[in-house]
Amino acid sequence: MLDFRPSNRTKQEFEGLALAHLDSLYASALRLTKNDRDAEDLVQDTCMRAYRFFDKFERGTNIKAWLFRILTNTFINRYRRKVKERSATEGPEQEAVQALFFSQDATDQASNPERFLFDRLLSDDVLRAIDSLPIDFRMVVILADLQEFSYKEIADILACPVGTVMSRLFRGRKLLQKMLRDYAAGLGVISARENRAMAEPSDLAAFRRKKASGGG
Amino acid sequence: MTCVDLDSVVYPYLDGELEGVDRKDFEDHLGACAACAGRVGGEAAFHGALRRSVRVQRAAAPEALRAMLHTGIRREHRRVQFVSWARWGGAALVAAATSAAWLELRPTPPDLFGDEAAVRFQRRLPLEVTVHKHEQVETWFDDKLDWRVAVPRLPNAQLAGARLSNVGAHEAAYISYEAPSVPGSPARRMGLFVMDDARQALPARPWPDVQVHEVHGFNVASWRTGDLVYELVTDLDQDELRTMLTAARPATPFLPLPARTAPAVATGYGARRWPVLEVVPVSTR
Repeated sequence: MLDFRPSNRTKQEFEGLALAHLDSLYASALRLTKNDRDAEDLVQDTCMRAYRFFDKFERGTNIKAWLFRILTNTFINRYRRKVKERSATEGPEQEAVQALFFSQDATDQASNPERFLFDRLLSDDVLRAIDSLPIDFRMVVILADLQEFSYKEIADILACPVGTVMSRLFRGRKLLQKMLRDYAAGLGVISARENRAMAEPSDLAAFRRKKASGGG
Repeated sequence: MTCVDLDSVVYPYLDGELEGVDRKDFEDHLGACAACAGRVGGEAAFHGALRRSVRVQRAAAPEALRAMLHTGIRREHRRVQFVSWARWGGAALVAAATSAAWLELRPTPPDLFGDEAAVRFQRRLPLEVTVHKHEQVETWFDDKLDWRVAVPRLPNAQLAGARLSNVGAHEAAYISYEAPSVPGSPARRMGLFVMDDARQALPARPWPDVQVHEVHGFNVASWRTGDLVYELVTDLDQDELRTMLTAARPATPFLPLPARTAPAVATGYGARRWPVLEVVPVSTR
């Protein structure tokens, strides 16, 4: 008879805790799958799976991060096969990404055309660029820029080191900038030139050690 | 911090991951180095464009999906119950009848919004605009949100700036204030999240019925004015917070602005008035 009480309480607790994040899950699923129908399926799978494993959720910890871990895992396992996307971290993609931010043009422009361009971009242009990002990069951009998760939370969600999160975020954003800059240059809005290369971050602990050894 | 050091942590800074002395070093360098300030300004503009666009398309989950999930969970719940009936036999049936009373018990809904607002406040993501006039902040938001933000005048508090944020799945205008404190100790902060809630889905009660509670060591006050819901997160203690909000009351600063007469239509490059984004002030030496 003990089975009843906890079970029913679990249902209500789950509905209270998890379904409160339904809009966030759906918005992210939409950017991952790129269409309404798959997004709904993905969120439904995610929530039902979360409900079945709700006893594994450690009470008092971050429910949103836990749900997003299930969402990204479900997406990777089920939908990625369907979507057939290439991994961003290997193959020619990586070289292309590196080529774009190691091209040099170190002159700092007083008028700051970068800012001029990015302040004027329309949402649709940016979204099209995000949707064409390789999946590993798109995932961290969605988690960081749409959901504003911290690096640590993203690392927990994707089960990877914080350094990997920083690196993917850096490369994903640089790739986006490159696409948007090319697009704007195609429209003749800005002249085609590369931005100055920016160092890729490793991780914050290494940054602090380096800074300390350099005397600040 | 050198220009090279700074370069490697531009995104961590914009993502609110730099804290304490690292953050201060970064901002000190920006204040003294126009080249870095310009570069970070460009990155911040990109960051802003990115966050704006993903929010614009942020869709609420369809009602059909929500209903489907409730049904799915109920079905799953019944399935689990059925398994336990089979296991426990008649005793379970008796228990079900006698324990009907607790079925009506509902756990208090968790204060999701206060919790998330406190976490956002603590992370101190850089402000996207640093102006000190209320009207300037309202104008800045006008270009970015399809509802209008009324920036409250809080007594004895200086407006520090604003950024776009979100709480739960709700898009939020974030407005930062600083309050003077005893000399020698750091200025106290107030972060105000303003959300559009035309659907009246959030639990906030109408001003002046302000609810105050403590979350993650901060005090959070929440209330509603018309369609707007306010969550004020602060390191002021509850007495100071009450005093401040009481002082704000006679001035009725929280009334929403009148609706825009003509909707802003994006007609392409240059058609809109774009604000200049200020990340940090650059000293003119």
